[in-house]
Amino acid sequence: MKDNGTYKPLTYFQLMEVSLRELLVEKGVITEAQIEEAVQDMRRRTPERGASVVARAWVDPQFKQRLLADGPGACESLGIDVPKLRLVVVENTPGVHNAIVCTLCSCYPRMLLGIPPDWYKSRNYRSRMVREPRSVLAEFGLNIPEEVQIRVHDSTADMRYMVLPMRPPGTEGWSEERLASIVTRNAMIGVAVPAA
Amino acid sequence: MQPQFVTQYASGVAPCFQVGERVRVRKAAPPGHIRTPFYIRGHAGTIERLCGSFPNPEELAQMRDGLPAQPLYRVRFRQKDVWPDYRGSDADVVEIEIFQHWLEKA
Amino acid sequence: MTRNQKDRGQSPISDTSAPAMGNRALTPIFSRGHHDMGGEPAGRVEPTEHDYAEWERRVDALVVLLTGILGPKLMTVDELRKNIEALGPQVYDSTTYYERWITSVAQTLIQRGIVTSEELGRKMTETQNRSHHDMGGLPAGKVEPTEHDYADWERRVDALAVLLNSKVTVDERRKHIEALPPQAYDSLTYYERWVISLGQALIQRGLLTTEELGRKMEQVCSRSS
Repeated sequence: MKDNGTYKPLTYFQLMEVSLRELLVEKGVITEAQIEEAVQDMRRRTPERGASVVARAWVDPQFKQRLLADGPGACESLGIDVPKLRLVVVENTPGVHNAIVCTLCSCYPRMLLGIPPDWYKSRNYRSRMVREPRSVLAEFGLNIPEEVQIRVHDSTADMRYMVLPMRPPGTEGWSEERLASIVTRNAMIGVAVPAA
Repeated sequence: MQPQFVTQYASGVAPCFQVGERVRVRKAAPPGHIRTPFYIRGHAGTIERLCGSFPNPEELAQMRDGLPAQPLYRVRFRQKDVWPDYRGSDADVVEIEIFQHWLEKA
Repeated sequence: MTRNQKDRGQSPISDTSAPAMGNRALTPIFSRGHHDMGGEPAGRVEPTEHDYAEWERRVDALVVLLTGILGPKLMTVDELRKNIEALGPQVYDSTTYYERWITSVAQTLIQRGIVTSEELGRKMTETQNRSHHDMGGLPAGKVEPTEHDYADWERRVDALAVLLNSKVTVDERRKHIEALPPQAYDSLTYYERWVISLGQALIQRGLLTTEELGRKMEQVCSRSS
């Protein structure tokens, strides 16, 4: 049985990662356990957490008001920890569609939703989303009617944004869990909308 | 005006713009670490909210403490004002967080 | 371009996406960071995703720890961004996201005096020179929980190693395995490596000669054909 760990020398950057980590551990700056714990911690932060916040906002108008006024507080009230996150939630309405981008780097509400997808950090998204949002959304399969205002949020500083999508028709009487299951990460970035 | 996030720093500059006020982004291009995107410089928009006051990232990047904390606003710009060839609804906007020291009255 | 034009600081580059800046001294080549790309023409957004490799997740974790979100605050994310921006367009465009971040973490740690260039350089050389078998902590792929029922010849190799233990120690065997070049190490199976190392060790010990082993192998070959 061949061991398919095909030989590939470490890239310069992988070499740097290993070396830096070992140096920092040797110097007592951090421990291996801390790194491992932080990796697992980020793995646990998934879009499902954001979806459950959206579902709650759909069924509970008071919670929704709180979410729009105090994003972090609202999340914490659901037992969803968001350390150091200055979350601003922007609401889609029949007249307004929101979308999030960070043109300068890759700012994203990581502590709520986890690591952002490659495309969010790509040159093409970061360049074009502020300038031609309708074309970019169309590439994602989302065609926003002319009469709906598009608000693009460029997160350049300390705030992090999440879109609160509209609850789609045909979901009356659904449980929160079922509602959460149709809220995708892309809908919380604003390049998609939930469908029943 | 109530800030979205209340922050406590040793020193801070007083906010001087109100929600709804017209402001213009300064047309400067210094070297260093800048968080005001190039595409918005020189353009005029409206204050949408006061986010709070935060240390200046330009200074934090240089290993300094970035104090006094600067008021940070969300400023709303009409896309058709920003891009001469914008194709989309006239109502479309882009909203950007901009520090007070980059803004002047329009 | 005439000398006069140069003196007035007119940029030869027309940047249709930038607001009209006037004539003076706002040369996009210098003043606009390569990372500051909002509004620039670009291609279709490919909705690619990839399952992040462990080493990439560890870089992410390192940033979260070092900037004080889940660990001691030793640097700011602003310094990290600045050092990414300082990479320059070529490096920026030819590296992946986490390659840029680990480079910036290194630069920032050096700038802060938490590690020195020398220490990091020495450690990187050491890691690189570390023998191929010494793989603890290095990036690798998913663990496939494979098993196989050992073949008779493999069990015999194992038995031989045990029987010869007084003549060829386990450390000598290991030494010979470690001496295999990386390509060989990875393309041979476990007992293939063992049997080769046993052969090498016995020859080194003088219990066999290369010639004896070679002739015997020829014999066995012609017997079985």
